[in-house]
Amino acid sequence: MLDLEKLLEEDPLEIAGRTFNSRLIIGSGKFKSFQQNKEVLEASGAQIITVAVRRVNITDPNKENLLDYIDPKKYLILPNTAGCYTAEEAIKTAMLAREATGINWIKLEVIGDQKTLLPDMEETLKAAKILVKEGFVVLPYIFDDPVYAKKFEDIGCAAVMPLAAPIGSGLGLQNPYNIMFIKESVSIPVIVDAGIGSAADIPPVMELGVDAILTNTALAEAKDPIKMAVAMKYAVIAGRLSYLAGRMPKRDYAVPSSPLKGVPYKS
Amino acid sequence: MKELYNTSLDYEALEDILLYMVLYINGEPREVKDELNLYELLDHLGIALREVGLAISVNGEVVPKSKYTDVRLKEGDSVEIIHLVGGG
Repeated sequence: MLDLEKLLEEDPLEIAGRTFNSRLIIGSGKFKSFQQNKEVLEASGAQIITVAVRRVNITDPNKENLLDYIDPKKYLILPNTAGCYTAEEAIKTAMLAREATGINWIKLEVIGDQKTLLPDMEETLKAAKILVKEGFVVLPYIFDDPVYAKKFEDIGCAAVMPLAAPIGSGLGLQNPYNIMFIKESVSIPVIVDAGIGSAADIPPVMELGVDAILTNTALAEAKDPIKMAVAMKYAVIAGRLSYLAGRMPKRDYAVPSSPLKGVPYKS
Repeated sequence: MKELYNTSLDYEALEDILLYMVLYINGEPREVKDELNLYELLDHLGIALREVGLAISVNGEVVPKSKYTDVRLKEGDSVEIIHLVGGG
């Protein structure tokens, strides 16, 4: 009998020397409450959760804090540089994030356009170079561009995070070929980030051989985020195992599954 | 009009100048006691010092938590106090 736990243990996700049994990474934005976020995290089986860096409201500083709900000893808290539009802003934010989390991992986001939230690849690469030199484990959010993905690998990024579709769009994978090409062009982990709309969007992406999925809005805006988290947990596993199992070739015409000989009453 | 010619010192205002300073905390001017260190500033603002989840920079330089009692603030310093919030 194949044991699912064993299958997953034999095939861990490895980023910068750390291993994870779950290939699902979730965000922590837009949930109804910290409690809901915590329950979603537990239900998803994710071991990495992204957070944002923001100013403390100094006129009302003692509101509840996300970290009262999520134990940083149990989960990898991955801070992002969301909201940054230049390399300089992103680097300064990463420095604050490193002090706040106590670890040197950063999900690097440098946005180039407010409407589409697409990354500014030039600024992202510039920031990544400096952050790598500063000793950060850099995971850049990038456009699904295989040429750029390679550049990020070459300068020492720990993974690349190409989009499936724009952030928060829920459109699902728009360009499987580019993701496939990225997977071919780099040997660091490829984490498809942004654009996942539901659990059903995940297996086709994982089947391309990508290493992990990051999703936030599809969980937070689901009618039942906890059920969606469970669905996504298994969707990631299904897609991964399907990739490892190897799909059959695609054919233009039907091929019968049952024997052609010995059909009853046939003369 | 008489008070315009009043030359007696306004001790309250003088005390204000000598004992207080203006800092720019998260972009907003705030009057605080002179020569506060970062530890005292957090206390003054009522912000809990969390080992994980909080960071401060002074004039763009991140200050490690081990130095919060060493770093004394000066008039006009820009202080950013951040925490970790929900995000994708």
